[in-house]
Amino acid sequence: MRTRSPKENQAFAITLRVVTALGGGYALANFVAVLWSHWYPGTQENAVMGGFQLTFLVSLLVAIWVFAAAKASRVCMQVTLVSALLGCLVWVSSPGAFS
Amino acid sequence: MSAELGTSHFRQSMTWLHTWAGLVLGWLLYFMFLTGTLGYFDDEIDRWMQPEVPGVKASYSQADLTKIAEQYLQNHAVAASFVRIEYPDSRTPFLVVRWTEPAAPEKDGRAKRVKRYLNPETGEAIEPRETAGGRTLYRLHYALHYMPRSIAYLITSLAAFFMLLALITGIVIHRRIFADMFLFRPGKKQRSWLDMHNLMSVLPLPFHLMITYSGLVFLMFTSMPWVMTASYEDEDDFFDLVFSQPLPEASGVSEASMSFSEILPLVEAQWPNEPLSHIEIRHPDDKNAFVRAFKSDYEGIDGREELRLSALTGEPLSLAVEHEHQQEQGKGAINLYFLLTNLHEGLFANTALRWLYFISGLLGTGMVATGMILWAKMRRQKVNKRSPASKGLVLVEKLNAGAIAGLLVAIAVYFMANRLLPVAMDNRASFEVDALFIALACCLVYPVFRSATKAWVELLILAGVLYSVLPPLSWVLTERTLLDSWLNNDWVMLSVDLSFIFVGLVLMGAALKIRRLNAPLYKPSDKILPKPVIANKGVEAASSLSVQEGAK
Repeated sequence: MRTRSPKENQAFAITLRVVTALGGGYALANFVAVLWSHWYPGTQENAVMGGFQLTFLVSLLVAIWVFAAAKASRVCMQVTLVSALLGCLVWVSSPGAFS
Repeated sequence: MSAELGTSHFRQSMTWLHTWAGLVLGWLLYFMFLTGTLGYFDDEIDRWMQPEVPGVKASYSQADLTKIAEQYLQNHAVAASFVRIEYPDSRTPFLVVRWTEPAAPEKDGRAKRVKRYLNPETGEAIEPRETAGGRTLYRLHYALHYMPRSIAYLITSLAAFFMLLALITGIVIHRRIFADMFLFRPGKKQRSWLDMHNLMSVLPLPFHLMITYSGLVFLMFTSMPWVMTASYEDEDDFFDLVFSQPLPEASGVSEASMSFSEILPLVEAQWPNEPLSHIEIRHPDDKNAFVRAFKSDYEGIDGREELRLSALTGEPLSLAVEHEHQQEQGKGAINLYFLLTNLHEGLFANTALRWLYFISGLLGTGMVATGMILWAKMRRQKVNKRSPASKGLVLVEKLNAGAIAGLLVAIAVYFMANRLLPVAMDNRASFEVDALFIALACCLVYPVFRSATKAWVELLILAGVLYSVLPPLSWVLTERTLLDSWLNNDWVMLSVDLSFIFVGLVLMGAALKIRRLNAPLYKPSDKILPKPVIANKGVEAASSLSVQEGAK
């Protein structure tokens, strides 16, 4: 495999961070919101409304996390891992969510 | 890694994020901020764009107006399932009637909603010019144009998220947030732009955070649909639970209901000395007919207080508020949603608070604009013979001129089109909006042929002239002078006209200031110099802008 020049490497790392922040942020925000809306006590509509409003805080924190991390590839792995974990949790706790 | 190194890395990465999150969709954010800010005066702009509608004189009482409107409704709103009278107030000084005509198969089977402005002198309806109005201008800030709503919502949501990111990272990287609030160092190159950016960002920071976050919340049903579909098979089930305001249906059994004139004294007895915003009858002449009356003044931010009466007997039915989100246990998130969206819209704001909203919005617009100008200035400063300006820098400089100054021109053209397009034209309203976007497109292209600085100056002068010309143009085309507005107590019309003149003068002043700061670009001797020298001189002058400023 051809090795990348430092400039290409940098461009690749930035692209990876952008994709991780947007994609991972969106996925994590949705997972957290769905978990919240299923676990928060009280009426379902109030819990869903709370989950909705959490999504932007979660995606914000993920974006900051991704760009503050020292290595792009590692943080991409971490975000993917946490997303997969929460995704499984959603799948186990509320099987209907993915249908 | 030491802790200190850690924080400096964090600050650096947040600076990077702030810079790019702000720039990438910056021009769209500027568009959203400016059109949204104008939305706080949508009614006032509507009023200006339909000068034919006469304001209602204060000598008419609520009872007089009710009689006039009722007379008109009796003749025109036949078999309506809903009739309403809207009384004049300070923002919309008109008498308006609305009704819903029953669904007819020849009209796609849909109920037709009608709105008429009435002239109280004659009791007849006025046909004002068709206009897209202040409403459309404000809708641009979230629904954009020429595309389906859902796509526009996704785009504006993404932009709002970038704004939120830029705000939070901006707070993180800002060392001395309170000290800098009062710091402005004019005439100090890009340092002055930075100070200006900070002033416009930090002082109204609570507004910026509120407006950005609540903007995201407004569109969350479109941007984050899965949150809701994960719990509800049918989205409407969810919306019904949160928003529904079940109003009694018609029974189908006819029974004569009271008239507005008979009902009004009953409402006034319940609410003595309270001017009404509007009064409506649902299902008139049905067994379930009922009246809803709304106070003109808002109390708190929740909406207008409602009085509901039976339209058969006039007895009070129940006192409900317009939004049915009463303070109840276990509705915290739902209440927060309504709090945020009400704060965003600011419908409850009185004149003073409305101006505060408007000024905060303008500061937000300025925050976005100065941020993008600062991006270019900081990079332009590093340009020298060994590292010439990159294509990206030149592009941003030209886009800044074309978009920031260009949108000001485009909005002026929108108002211009309202006065210049033939009054009887078909699809007049959509041509007004087309005019705005054609003007914006021309302004975006214009800097291709000029240096960025010259484009700034020329577009700002154009915008300034256009705004200043609007009131005299109205005088010629609609025969309404500032004096007429003054004599008829038409304060809304007068304020809008005076604001145009003020904005025009400010923009021309700004243009002259930029021209003076970049004086070398405009030396008349440039014209007679041989070509290669012009090119050199142009580039050098542009790159030494800040030096010139500093030397002054």
